[in-house]
Amino acid sequence: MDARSNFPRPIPEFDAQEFWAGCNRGELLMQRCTSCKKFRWLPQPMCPSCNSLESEWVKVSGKGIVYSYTIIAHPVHPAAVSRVPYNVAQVQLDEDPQLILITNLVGVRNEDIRVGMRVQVTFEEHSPGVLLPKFERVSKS
Amino acid sequence: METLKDKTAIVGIGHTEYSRDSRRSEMSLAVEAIRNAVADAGLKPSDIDGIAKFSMDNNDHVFLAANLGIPALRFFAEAPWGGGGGPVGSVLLGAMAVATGMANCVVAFRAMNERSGRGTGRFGLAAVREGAPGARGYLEPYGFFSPAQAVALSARRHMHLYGTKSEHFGAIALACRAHAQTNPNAVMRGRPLTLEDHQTSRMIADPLRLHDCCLETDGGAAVVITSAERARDLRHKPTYIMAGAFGATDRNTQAVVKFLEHPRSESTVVADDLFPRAGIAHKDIDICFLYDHFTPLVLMAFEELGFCKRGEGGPFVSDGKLRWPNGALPFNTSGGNLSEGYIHGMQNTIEAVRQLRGDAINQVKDAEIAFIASGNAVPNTAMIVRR
Ligand SMILES: [Zn+2]
Repeated sequence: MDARSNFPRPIPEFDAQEFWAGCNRGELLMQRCTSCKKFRWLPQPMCPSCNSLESEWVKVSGKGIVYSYTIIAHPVHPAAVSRVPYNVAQVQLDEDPQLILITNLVGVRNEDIRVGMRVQVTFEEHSPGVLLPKFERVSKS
Repeated sequence: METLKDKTAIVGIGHTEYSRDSRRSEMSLAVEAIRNAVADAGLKPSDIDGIAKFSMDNNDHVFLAANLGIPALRFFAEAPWGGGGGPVGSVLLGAMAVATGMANCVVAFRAMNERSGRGTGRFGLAAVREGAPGARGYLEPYGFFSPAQAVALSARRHMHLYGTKSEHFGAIALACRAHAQTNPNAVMRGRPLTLEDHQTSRMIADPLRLHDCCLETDGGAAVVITSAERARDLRHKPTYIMAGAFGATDRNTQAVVKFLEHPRSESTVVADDLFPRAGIAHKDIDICFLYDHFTPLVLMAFEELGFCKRGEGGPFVSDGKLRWPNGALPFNTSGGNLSEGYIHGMQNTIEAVRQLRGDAINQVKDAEIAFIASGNAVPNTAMIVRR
């Protein structure tokens, strides 16, 4: 694939392989300390709270709120040229206020996005074999 | 314990032309800025025995020393994180080397073709690659690349929490632009800015508009640091370094995310250390230089550095507070990164020295003490200097 035609795909590295493998199965996994049970993000080898090196991967609800967002108008990557204006959002997961993911909101018009909006994870294909966690609005019903 | 207080001084300042296309090598920009700074001090390049640079600067210490004709380079170091650690951090590295006897005379500099990309490629453009490793893997697949986009997220959150308006961001842009109008080296001289211009400028990453973003600039800037003792025999009135501080917090694991609700920021860390080390309070500051890469972060820096309360940055920067000559807290008086030229903050230190020498273009009357901070929202460095 021409690198200019799409945004870069994630390259899973040691501390992140479980996360990306989970995404490719359609599961949102978060790293949690087995000792003090604190979640952490990004994936990293040590627990900053208790300095334990042991961790587990826990499937989370995928529910959260829009913490902040931007509508990108100026493309800084060739693949952005045909996509502007597009949204990039921070979603804060219900499990822990420190779990704030960068993502895209899907199925919602840019002008309807609000801080605090309830959202739910969904997985979208980025490229063959790579699923990205994105978020869609939770209907009020 | 011994401290850095008043042991060292900035004794020379120098820069190149600031432009949008230098048509020169980055080494050429570096050596000209350094030669000018050394000459300003009344020294020769061969008097320099230390070089402190930004880690992202493409000029190598050792090749630079060879070009400058430095026979024995005794100190070389670099400060990371560009606009955060670099501009003040490189000066402080030099000051620490001098204070501890590792070197006699250190130059700190930044030189780059940021705008034209001549030679080394344009700085700040998104790399075109198929894979994003490490932390970038959580950002780039979503089309999230630039510092402006990250700042937009913080700005939106600040607006949501505190009712901050785009017009507050505009007040910062307007102050810098007004100051640049008398500065012959300012890239934006001759292009005054109104609030309407700001409010109608094109959107970069909503809510960030074009005039909320610093310039991309080609150029070089350098300062010379030596001991207070030696400084007294040199050409200009010394600018003494009263205190310096480095700071980073544990909120940086997500690289670009700044948690506004986090109790401490990089700026609060440096402010907590800096004022006690200098033995002064915020009210003693006559003039301040904040790293104006993006206007919302300047507003937040005033809060986090303790110049006003958190959430009150918008009102604080309004009503001409930052504008020379009548504002209560003159800020970035040569135009800053937003309007003089984005030499990654080194030009703010140069302007601080001019103000304390008393020969600045927009001279603040009786300026004695200046505060200089590097970038907010990234690992940060700051110092307080006096005449
Ligand atoms: Zn733990």
